[in-house]
Amino acid sequence: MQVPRIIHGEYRVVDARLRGRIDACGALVGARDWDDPLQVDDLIDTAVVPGLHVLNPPGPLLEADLHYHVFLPLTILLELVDTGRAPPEVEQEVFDTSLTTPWGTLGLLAPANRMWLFAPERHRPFLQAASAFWPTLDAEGARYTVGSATGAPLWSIGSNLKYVLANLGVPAPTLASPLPPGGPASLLPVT
Amino acid sequence: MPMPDMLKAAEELRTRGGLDNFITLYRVYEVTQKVLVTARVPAALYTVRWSHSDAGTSSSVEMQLVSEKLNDLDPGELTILFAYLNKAHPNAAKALRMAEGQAALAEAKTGPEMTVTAHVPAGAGMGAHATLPSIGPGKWNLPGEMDPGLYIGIEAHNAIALVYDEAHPGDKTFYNTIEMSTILRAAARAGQVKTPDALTEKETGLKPDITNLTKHHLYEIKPVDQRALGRAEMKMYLAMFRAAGVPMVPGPTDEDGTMGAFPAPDGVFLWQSPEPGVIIYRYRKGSLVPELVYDEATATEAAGERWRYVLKPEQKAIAVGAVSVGAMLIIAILLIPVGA
Repeated sequence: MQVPRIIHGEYRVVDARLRGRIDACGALVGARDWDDPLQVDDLIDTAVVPGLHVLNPPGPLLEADLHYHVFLPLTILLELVDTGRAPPEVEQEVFDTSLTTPWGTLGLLAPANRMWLFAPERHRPFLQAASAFWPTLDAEGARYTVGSATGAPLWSIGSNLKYVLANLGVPAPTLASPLPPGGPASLLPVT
Repeated sequence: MPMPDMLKAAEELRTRGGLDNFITLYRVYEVTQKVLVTARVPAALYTVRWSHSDAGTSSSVEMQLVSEKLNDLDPGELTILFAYLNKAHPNAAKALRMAEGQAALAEAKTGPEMTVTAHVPAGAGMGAHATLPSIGPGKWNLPGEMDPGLYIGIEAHNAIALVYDEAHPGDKTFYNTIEMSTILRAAARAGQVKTPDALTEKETGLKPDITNLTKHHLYEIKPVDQRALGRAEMKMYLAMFRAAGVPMVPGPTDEDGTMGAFPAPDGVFLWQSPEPGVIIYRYRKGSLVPELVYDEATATEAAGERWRYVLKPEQKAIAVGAVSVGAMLIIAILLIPVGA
């Protein structure tokens, strides 16, 4: 999977680097302005560069090593919107743009970004993107973490995919069971 | 004396090199005179000591002692102490978590040995060679030269949050490393915050263990010996949420995901909620291997697709777990200290 290079590294460094780039790039008006600080053209391959995909703000177990802090860009953006430092319209634009890449969708899968999915009208588009990118995301293997030093497969940890599926009517025991071959969307009740 | 002034006085005492001696004297006085000093004094003294110590220097005995004191504090004063600790010591949260994990490791050595007995109802269809799945051990994956106490403390919080989340996948939940500022913004988006500026900047940096904004339930997680501290912290967060207008309550003791067993590094975590808003855990090396005992009672449940572990109420110490195995049996599991 290709991800922006800027999100890989030691947490404090990545956080400072991202926030510094955001400040340097000036006012955020639209989703395109968000691409600049993220340097979306400078990607690295997760198959080559080691590290876990961190889905929550890391504690001491994950702070010191080099990992992919995939949750962070969207966490910062929402912080900017909620504190009036970015216009509210940017949020929906960035949401839509995030659904066009595996790493953007993974950012939305992070429990730290559950707020992004409070609005029910975002559930279906999100599920569609998550299902489409699922083979890529699942192929990363046991590299996902919500805080543990030991990585796990994405389906085995709490993520916003399960949050959305539960809100679309999938029972909790089904979400706690192994994912069927049909992928996430196959779990939806037939209507 | 107001708490901020007490903290100042304790700081002054420390600067003059007398804090440790004063704490020792206070404890001797309390024990020999059998006079209980008000909780506020030792709480302030220990807070200052922790704020200048390396992470993890407090013993589990000391933590237990202090947690009893903190439990008597007014939530507002407890908030002052935690905010002070976070400001004075950037690694305060880490230090507290390490002390927790060390307490759990100490208890694992001195606490009761645990075993699991599975009572299989007659007619449940279990053959003589059938076995129940065991739980743990997980992989020992200590990062670098990290203190094992810190490692165990954090992994326990992760495990409990993971199991709670699995039981509440559709809820607006936040765990362990999410700051109050973020949770309050989430609550605001959910239309639950009435006074978003009620908290100070320092307070918004604190991190409750389990916040469920859908059910309005709050839990603090602690090792079994720090239950009182868990209660005190839970009350503190409750006061903070209520100040912001979020109607949180201590989570009930029978909520799904608040009792269980889960693989831990080189062992297993076992937890339960003995009182509203507090989850206590134990750590044990090895694995939980259920021991089957055939019951004469008649099975009452129809066939299904999962094991279900049911704990007898008087044992209450462990494990509701679920593992898909293709056939439903209702099995009562007793987790008992060996030799009890």
